[in-house]
This record gives sequence, structure tokens and C-alpha cells, in this order.
Amino acid sequence: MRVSSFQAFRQTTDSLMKNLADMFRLNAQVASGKRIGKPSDDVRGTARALDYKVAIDAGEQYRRNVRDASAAIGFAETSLSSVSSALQRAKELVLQGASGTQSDATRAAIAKEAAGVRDQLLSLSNSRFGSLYVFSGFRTDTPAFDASFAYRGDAGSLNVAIDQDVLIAKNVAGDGVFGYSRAAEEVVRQSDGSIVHYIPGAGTTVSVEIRASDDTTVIDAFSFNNVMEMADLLSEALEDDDAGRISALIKPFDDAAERVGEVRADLGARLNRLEDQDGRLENAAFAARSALSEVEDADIASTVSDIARTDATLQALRASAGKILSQSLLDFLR
Amino acid sequence: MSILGLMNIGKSAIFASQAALNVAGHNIANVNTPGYTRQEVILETATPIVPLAGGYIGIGVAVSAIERRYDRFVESQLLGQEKSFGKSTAMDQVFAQVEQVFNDFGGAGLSRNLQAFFDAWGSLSANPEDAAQRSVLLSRADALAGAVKTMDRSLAATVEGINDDIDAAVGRINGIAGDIALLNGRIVEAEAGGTASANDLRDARDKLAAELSGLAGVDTLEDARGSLAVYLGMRSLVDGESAVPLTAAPDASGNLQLSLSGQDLASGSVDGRLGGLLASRDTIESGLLSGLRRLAAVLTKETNLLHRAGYGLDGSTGNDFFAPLSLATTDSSAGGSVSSAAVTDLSALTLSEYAVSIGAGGAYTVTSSDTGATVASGTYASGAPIDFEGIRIVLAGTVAAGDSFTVSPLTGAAANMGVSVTDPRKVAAASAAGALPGDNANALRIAGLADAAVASLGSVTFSSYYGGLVTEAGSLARDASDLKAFDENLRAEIRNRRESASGVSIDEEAANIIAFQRAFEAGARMIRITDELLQTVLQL
Repeated sequence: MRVSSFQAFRQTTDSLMKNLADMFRLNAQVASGKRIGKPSDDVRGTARALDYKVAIDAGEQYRRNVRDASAAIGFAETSLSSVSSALQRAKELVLQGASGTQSDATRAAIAKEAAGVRDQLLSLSNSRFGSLYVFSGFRTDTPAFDASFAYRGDAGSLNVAIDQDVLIAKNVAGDGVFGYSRAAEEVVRQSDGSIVHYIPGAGTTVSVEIRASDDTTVIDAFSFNNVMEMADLLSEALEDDDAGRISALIKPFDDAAERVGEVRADLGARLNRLEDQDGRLENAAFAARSALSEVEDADIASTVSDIARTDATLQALRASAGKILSQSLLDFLR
Repeated sequence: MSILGLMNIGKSAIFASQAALNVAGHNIANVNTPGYTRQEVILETATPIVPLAGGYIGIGVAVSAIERRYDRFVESQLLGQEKSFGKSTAMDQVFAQVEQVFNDFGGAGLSRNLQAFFDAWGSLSANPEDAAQRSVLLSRADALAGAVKTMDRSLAATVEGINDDIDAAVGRINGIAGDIALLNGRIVEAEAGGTASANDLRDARDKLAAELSGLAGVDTLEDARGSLAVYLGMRSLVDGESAVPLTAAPDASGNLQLSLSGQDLASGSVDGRLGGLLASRDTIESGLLSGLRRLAAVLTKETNLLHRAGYGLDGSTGNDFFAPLSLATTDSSAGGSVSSAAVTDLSALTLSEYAVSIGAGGAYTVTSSDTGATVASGTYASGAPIDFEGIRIVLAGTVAAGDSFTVSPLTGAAANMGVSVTDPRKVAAASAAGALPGDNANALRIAGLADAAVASLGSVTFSSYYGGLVTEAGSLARDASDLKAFDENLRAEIRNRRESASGVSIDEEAANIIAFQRAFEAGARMIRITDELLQTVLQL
């Protein structure tokens, strides 16, 4: 083949350019540590990398929600454990008051303590996590129960997403915990022969009727909505030495303690679930990160060896270019 | 044969060698001239042949021609390859630029903004009362809208740049066509009647034809007189000594359209750089740009629909989260015009584009570009609104048969994207007015859009729709750069073949110089010897 001078020159420069471009590309890979610097570097890899990044970001948001929910539920659980203790104490006071061996003075002291329990329950029901009332449903800016023990919150269940299409409630509405409600009427025969009827009323109202042994004559009737009102009634009954009422309150306090126990068990289950979910999300994030690195990151060892190879080619090219381009027949015609 | 005949033979040798040295010098001088074709002196024995004792002998040497070492086949291949290379280079330049708009690997990128936006709704759903979360959400939404706007602007600027390039290419094409017409005249004149070839003029014309082919992909045909006819898209661009001007004029949407001798050139009939620019402009507009605008429009629509149904901390409801979608109209009518176009029912909006056309007797039809279906039709009564798919338009002026308008909720969707909620308290996280401030149901619903398959995006999520745009940009850039690399290699190969046949080799010319220098010397010696012979005769 005939080789013209310009051809020799251009082929040499073309080859140099090609290798320099390779060198530049490899160098950029080493500098960024990434195999993909722009979508066209690997179109399929780009699609996968974007999917992984979205999954990682979304996973981080779910984990933030999990931590948020854990903190809120943990706080509610702690508050409710104090409620359990308070109810336990109330039940002890009922039993002490009902024993009939109390003097006026000791009963007054017990009545005072019952009032203390009532106030403690009220303050627990209005617990605040940060600036938010935790037992008020959606009305987190309002105390759950007001001074007259009326529920001011609502039944709102604050659901947060902890995974795609998986919601968990991070609160528990106050009237479900502190409220006292019954599904059906229940009758308890007391040791003194009287018969106590616990009758479900509207909402969380429960009416109590203490009837004589004929189960017809109503000796006493009263009603309450929640544990604060129960403690208030207990305190009054102790002051008034109303043995009938005091004994009639034993069952409601038992039921309330049981109810709080159930709610606490539910909160505990939610905490467990959140902990599991956190672990799952962490594993998923780890897997997604590894997959992303697999797709996106440069294999530095092989890139560096590619650089060495390209460098060797470049040097050889320069050496041969020095020979080809610098001489012609004219150099030898003197 | 006389002794003086010997003198003439010597003289012819000197002249021929001198001509050959001239050509060698010309070749060496042009060793690096692009498009130069090596020339060669064709020598032949000079006639007439005279009888000599025992036989016949010529009267020396003569230059019969100075030829270009030219391979017609390689030259036509080169013309074809310049055409492909021009097209793939233009597309590679455009798509490499467009790809950077969709490059999510530099840390930034819309996919991040999109995810951050939905994450902010997720955080708000966990703490709906929190003023800080609300502010974070607003700033994330601002960043998202800003990113969409920037991308839209970049793509629009790219399209604008393409139009500028088209204009520049058209100018250059007309310049070259004029030059070829001029050279045609000079070549025909130089070569008229004789056998002499206007080598350097032909080199110049071939070079221009190659450039023209790279610019627009032309076909050429040389006639018997040596004049080159150039055709673009089957229409004459250069005919003899006259060139027809190629013109580029903007259409209704501001894009340049080509026409030659008063007739429109379809973009498919143009190749080369111009063809590449036209094709990439169409691809960007119908693919990436409209995709981005659709994404913005759907995001605005879906977010606003949910947001309007929710309640802010201050109890306000019915607020748009993003600036409401506006309608862009174009008018290609003589009489009527669109006096107003508005979205009347956001939930009924399908985010298609519509063509409104007026027929005989004021009968109008509205056609959806997505489905091709007629979505409304009737008889137009002056001033009466036309309603279709959540849109109401009102026409004005003298509406006549043949009038047509287009209505699009997409055109401005990305450019006008913005957050219309400014007061963090108005962010509607709650689904009911009575459950404030802790109700998060609406925030939860909007955060859920992140994972929702959205029907108007082809039943994929926002992030996978965007991912589709990124991979589309990536494959366009990749395909263009692959094709360009292929065309570049092929062009280099063909240029090599051309250089191999037509290029100047200094070594070869150096050898020729020595050969002709020696021939010159021998010719001169010949004359001296003849002189000596004459002296000898004279002294007899």
C-alpha cells in the first residue's frame, strides 16, 4: 500500500487521540470511584442504580418513621405503666376502705390519697411528648381530659408508614385507655347481700345500680366515664364512709387495670414489630447499597491495570511516531 | 535526422524535466493541504517519428498531461460517508448535551428531588403538627419545582441552540452552493475545448462538495462539460453556474423549517449535519421534553387534587399545593382566536393535548392527541364556550371554517411549576377540619403518591417514569456516540484510502526530484554535446 506523508501523520495523531481519550476516561473513573459518570456509560446500569437509590432513600424515610413511632409508643407505654401502678394503688385503697376497720381519721387519709391518685391519673392522661398531648387522638394541642374529667380529644389514630403500604399507629386515643366502657350489663352479688348492676350507657358512660337483695329496690345509683371519675367517686365514698359504693368500685378498678394492661400489651407488640421492621429495613438498605455499589462503583484494580496498559500503548506510539514523522528520504540525500 | 534535431531532443528533455520538477514542487508544497490531490506529469515520446538509418526514432519527450491521481469510486464513498458522519456528529453533540440535563450521577438530579419531596410528606405525616417539618416540605417542594424548571429551560435552550445551528448550517450551505456554482463556471471555461484538466479548481470543488455532503447530504452529478449539478432532497441546489437558495423560516412553535425553491423540505429528506439537527430536535421535543412536561403536569395535578381535599393547621381547605396548571394555546387561523382557556375541573383533566378545528357551518370538533378520539363536537355559536375533559375554551373574532387551534395543559407545565402554598400552616396534612392538628391522613395519602402507579404516566410510579426519561436520554446519547464512533472509523478508513491514492508522499517526490534533476542534467549535457558535435563539423 502506498502511504502518503499526511496519511502517516494523521494515523499517528488519530491513534494518539484515541488512547489519550481512553486514558482520560479511565482517569475520571479512578478520580470519582464511579463506573457510571453519566447515563450513557451504562444505560441498563443507570436504570438499576436509580431504582436502588430510590429504594435506599425511601428506606431511610421509613426508618425515620420507625424511630419516630418507637419513641412515641415507648413514651405512651411508660406513661401507661405509671397508670397501671396508680390503678393498682387505687384498688388497694378500695380494699382498705372496704375493710370496715378504719377509723374516721384513717379513712380521711385514704380518701385524700384516693384524690391524689385521681390527680395523678388526670396528669398521666394529659402526658405530653414534646409539646404534644399523646392521648388526645388527632387533637394533639389539647389536653386529653379537662379539669372536669371530660374527654377533649378524638378517636384519631395517627398512622405512619413504616414500609410500602404498611401503616402503624403511633398513638393510642385516651378514651380507649382511661375511659371505662362496657359491652354488656353485668351483675355482681356483694357479701352484704346487695346486688350491683353495671349497666352500659351512652358512649363510655357506665351506670352502677346498687340494689337490695330483692334485686328490684334501688338503694344507690351513680355513673362514671373514666378512671379519673372512678377515683373521684372513691375519694368521695371514703369521705362519706359509703361502704356500698366503695365495694361497688372494686370491679371497675379491676376492669380498668385489665384494660390498661391490654393496651400496654398492644403497645409492646407494636414496639416489637417496629424493632423487627427496623432490622428488616436496615438489611434491605444494606442489600440495596451493595447492589448499587456493584452497579455504580468502578473496579479500581481493573481500572488501574487498564490505565497501565493504555499508558504502555501511548509510550510505544510516541516512540514510533518519533521515528516515522521525523525522517524522510530528504534527510539522506546530501 | 540532422544534428540540430539532437539539440531539440535535448531541449525537450530539459522542458519535460522542468515541468515534472514543477509538479513535484507543487505536490511537496501542498503536502498538508486538505483535499489536495497529488498531480502527476504524464510523459510521452514526442512525435513525429523520423526515419533513421535502419529504423525510425522519435524527436524527444513531451508532456501530454498533468493528471490528478484521483479515484472516482473512493471519492463517491467519501461523499456518502461525510453525510453519515455529519449526521451522527450532530446528533452526538446534541444528545451528549441533553444527557447532562438528565444526569443524576453528579449528586444532584430530579430523582433525588422527587424522593426528597415525598419523604418530606412522609416526615410530615409522622409529625403533622410540626412547623419545622412543614417548612422543610415547602423548601423541598420549591427545590423540586426549581429542578423541573431548570431542566425544562435547559432542554428549551438546547432546542433553541439547535435552531441556531440549523440557521448557521443553512447559511454555510448557501455559501458553498454559491462557490460551487462559481467554480463550475471557471472549470468549464478552463477545460473548454482542450484536454487540459483544471486540477486545482476541481480539488477545491471536490472539497466543497464533501463539506456540503457533510452538512446536508447532497447528491452530485458531473456533466460532460465538467459542470457539477448538486441535488438536495431530490431538488436542485446547484445547476450549472446558478445556485438555488435554501431558506429556513420559523413555524408556529418557533422551530425553523427548511424550504428550497418555495417548497418545504421534509426533515426526512435531509441528511448530514442538518438532517441530524432536525432529527434530534424532533426527538427531544416529542420524547424527553414532552416527557418532562408530562411528569410535571401529572405531579401538579395529583398533588393538587389530594391537597385541595385536605385541611391546613388553620382549617383552610381547597388550596392548591403547586401553582395550578395553565393551558397553552396556539392559533393557526385567519379569523378566530382563543380568547380564554381554563381548567374547569382538575379531576377530569386527562393531560392530553387537543386540536380544535372548525368545519363548514361552524361545526367544531375537538380531538385528543393521546387517544385520537373526538372528545367534543357540535355547532359553534358565537361567544359560547366549548367544554371538553375538564377544559373550557372561549373563542373570539370571526370564527370561520378552516380555523384550527391547539390547547395543551403540558406545554407550560414544567416551565410554570412552582409551589403556591407559602404559609406552612396551610399545608393540608389533615383530612378533616375537626381533627386538627394531629390528623395526618392527607399527608399520608400524598406521601403514598411516591409508590402509586399513576394512570396518566402509563401506570408507573413518578420515580420510574423519571427513570425512564433518564435511560431514554442515556440510550440516545449512547446510540449517537456509538454511531458517531462507527462513522468516524469508517470515514477515517475511507480517507486513508483516498490519501493512499491521492496524497503526497515526500519520499516519493524526493525520489522524483532526483530522477528529474538527473534527466534535466542529462538533457543539458545533450545540448552541450550537440554543440561540440557542431563545432567539430564546423572545423572540418
